[in-house]
Amino acid sequence: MDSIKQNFEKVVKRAQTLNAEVELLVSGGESFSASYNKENLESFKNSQSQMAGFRVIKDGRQGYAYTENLAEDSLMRTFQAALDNAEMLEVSGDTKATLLAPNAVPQIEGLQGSFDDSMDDKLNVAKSLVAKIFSQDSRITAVPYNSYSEVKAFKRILNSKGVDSKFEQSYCSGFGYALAKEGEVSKMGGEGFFARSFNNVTKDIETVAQEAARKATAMLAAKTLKTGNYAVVIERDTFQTILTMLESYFSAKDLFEGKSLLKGKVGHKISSEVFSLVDDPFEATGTSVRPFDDEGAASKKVSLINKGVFENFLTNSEYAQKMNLPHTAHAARSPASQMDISASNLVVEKGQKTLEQLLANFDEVVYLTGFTGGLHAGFKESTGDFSMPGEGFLYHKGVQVGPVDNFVVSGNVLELLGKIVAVGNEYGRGGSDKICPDVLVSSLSFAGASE
Amino acid sequence: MIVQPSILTKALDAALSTGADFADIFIEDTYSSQLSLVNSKPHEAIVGQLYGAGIRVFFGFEVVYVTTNDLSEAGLVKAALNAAKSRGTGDAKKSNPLVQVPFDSIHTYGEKPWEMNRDKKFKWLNSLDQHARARSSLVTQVEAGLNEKFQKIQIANSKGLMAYDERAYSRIRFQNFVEVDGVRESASDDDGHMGTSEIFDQVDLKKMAEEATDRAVMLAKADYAPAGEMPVVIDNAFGGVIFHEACGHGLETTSVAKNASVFAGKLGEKIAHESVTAIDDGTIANGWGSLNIDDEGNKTKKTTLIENGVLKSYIVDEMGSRQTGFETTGSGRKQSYKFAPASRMRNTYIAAGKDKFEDMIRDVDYGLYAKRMGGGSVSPGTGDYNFQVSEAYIIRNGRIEEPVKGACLIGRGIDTLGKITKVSSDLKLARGMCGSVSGSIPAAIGQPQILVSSLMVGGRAK
Repeated sequence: MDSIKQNFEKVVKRAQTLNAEVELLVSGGESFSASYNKENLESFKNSQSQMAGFRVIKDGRQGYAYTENLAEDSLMRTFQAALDNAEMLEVSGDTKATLLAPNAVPQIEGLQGSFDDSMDDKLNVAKSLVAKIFSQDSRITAVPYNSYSEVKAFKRILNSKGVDSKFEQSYCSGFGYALAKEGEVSKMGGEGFFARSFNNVTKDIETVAQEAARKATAMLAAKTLKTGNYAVVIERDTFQTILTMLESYFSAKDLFEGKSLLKGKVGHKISSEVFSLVDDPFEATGTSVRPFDDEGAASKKVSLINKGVFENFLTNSEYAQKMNLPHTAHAARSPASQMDISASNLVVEKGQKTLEQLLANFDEVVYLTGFTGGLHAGFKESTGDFSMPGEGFLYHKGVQVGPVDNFVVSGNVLELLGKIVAVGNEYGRGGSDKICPDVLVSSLSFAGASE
Repeated sequence: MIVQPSILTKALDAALSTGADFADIFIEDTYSSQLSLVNSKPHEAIVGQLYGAGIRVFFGFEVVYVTTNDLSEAGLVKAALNAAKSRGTGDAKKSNPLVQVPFDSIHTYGEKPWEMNRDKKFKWLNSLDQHARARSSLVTQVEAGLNEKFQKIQIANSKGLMAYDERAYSRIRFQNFVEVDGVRESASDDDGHMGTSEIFDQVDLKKMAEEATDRAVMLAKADYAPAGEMPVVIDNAFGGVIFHEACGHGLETTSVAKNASVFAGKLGEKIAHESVTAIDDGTIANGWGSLNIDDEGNKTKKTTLIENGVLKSYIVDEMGSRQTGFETTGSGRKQSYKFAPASRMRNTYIAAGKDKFEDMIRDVDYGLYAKRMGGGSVSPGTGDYNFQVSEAYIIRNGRIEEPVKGACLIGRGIDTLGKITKVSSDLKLARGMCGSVSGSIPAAIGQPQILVSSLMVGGRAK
């Protein structure tokens, strides 16, 4: 028996004498990353980490505590702290939380890729990404943000009812951001990659470099956009931000706490019928693949929006019971946080139209290729209102007029869903837990130059 | 002291064993506690411990950073050798004998978070909940939380520096939700300091809850902000987020050294209106972004960044100093041992000027009064920033008139600095969490009221 299991069983014995249930979530792994300043290695990081988080349930009340010291005495102290926390809380709602019994979890193949190549090969990828970005265009003056990183991670859940599930994965990822300058104008553009095998990265580096350079240099000639309402094609990667805005509304916990804007909407139309969205923990191109959720329940694929109709909230065992909803196995927590609910991979169903067709759908269309600020600085979750700076290209009858920037696009994210006219027929390059095609919206408000 | 000096010396020597010219070790033992109240009931209680070390090695301008949770002699030496061998092939060097850095703490702490009775803590949270609900029947939900952190750090480097410090942080936060004729809104507020939680006995929690409730109700009834360029008066305290985003990040050597800042190479040049003087100060007693020593063991300082519009200093950490030649400003900071330090802001603010708030408002025919700011972000390379306005009013014919919601402000830092035409004498600071390459750290921001002659307001086009 391994030491984690041995120590946990001692904790379970202690818990049983106190009439408490106990769950242990352990996560950690090994990672390294490297970044370059021109041709010189700038940073090389290597970390090994592990953290253990207890959830203790006593009389339906849940307490949490965590530690990075996995020695037996430390785990016992941390268990006691979680128990003390449980005893000071009250039961939320009419139902009492309990732990899950063991259940069969699916195996997902292909998540532990091959990264046995030499360190020099890997550093060469990081270095060549920077060099290739510089080589694309003489106006690129810096590649200030760049990285190659590799992660081997594990997650293990044990509980006093007998659950002991472990999940391991490895992947590499990275990015390069080009800073382009022309006169007094500076523009930044970046591209990333994600792969479960080192070989796939080496094939992809040229494309990543070209995209980063293209995004930076294309905006150097950007003009202001006149203030007004425009039809918008939201570029596939940019639409990920829209899904991020929506994500918490699908949580049954947010519904219980009165914060979800989708309250009372199950079975109702909440978007245009060309729009369908699923949560898919098995989608291999997504970054949130998992065989079980963070309380050990076997993962499920769940339809959220089907042809415009809202079908399901996401639940864990506690909130499925509390809200009398189907259990969708979307429990989410880290060792250092309390139980929550979150999506895995959100996947928008592809439509029929090409990007060119979407851009030609209206006389005047803004092709929104990026939000240039953080969501925390432009989105209000309690209302769904957003006001975000962006950049993109103006199109007239399907023909590009030129790049535009220095504008703010505003609206309400639920109203936006209702204005979706069509969905594109291609996905992006992957590397995210949100998988989207381009999306055409009939009208959004743009603040730019005075009329 | 967390680890004996003799062990640190062995680890430092291991880090220098392949020819590195500098090494340091950052050791951390941090207690954290989060309590929250939702639906008027205790909702969350989590305590935890971060326990680990970060070992950093310089090979010229190359930085190697390795972390471990094993603070035994064997664990630290193994991690240090791992760092050394990952890059170096040169001759071994020896570290200098360790000498403790003497300093008197400028901060005072009361009861430690684990010593204070938790009923007392929930009493504060209950107080916020009850005052909000008593203020308006339109309140549908209240969330209140208390975050506490007590960080013990030990730093040693190959030049012979050794330092130990303790840092306490306490922050109470509050958000309420209202519904007015089917329109939902929310408002939030917070208070806290670098220190322990007894200060919340002195904070007017009733006022905090009632003002946030009134603000949420007002927003629910407000129309959307207009869209377009206009003059903007930005209030004091958290209004300083504009300087933090528009300029502060661009002065960090993390960006400057790579020539990835619009302020690179501009030392001694006029980069702002002459009414602007800006300070980054780590020495304010119990200030939210203050320190005794930074995360590289250097004593913190008060640094004048801009004086009467002229750029006087960057924000410099050890590697930034090595790359640019400027002396370190005691600004090497990071979230935890899991991050390598980087040059970061502390308590950053625009200094008080001589103008009057009333005159700024009177100067505007049509514009926006941004009374409360939300979060902000910036791209240091371009200087493009944006931030949310969480409470705003239209200024019409020199008077503050109706409230508006949904506004954000965008611009380019260096342009905006040149458009600050008035600075009031009423300086206030506020708390924020700043996210960047070395993680999320407490950073105070501040300013007196300022008038910006023209800014892009993102609202709704009519």
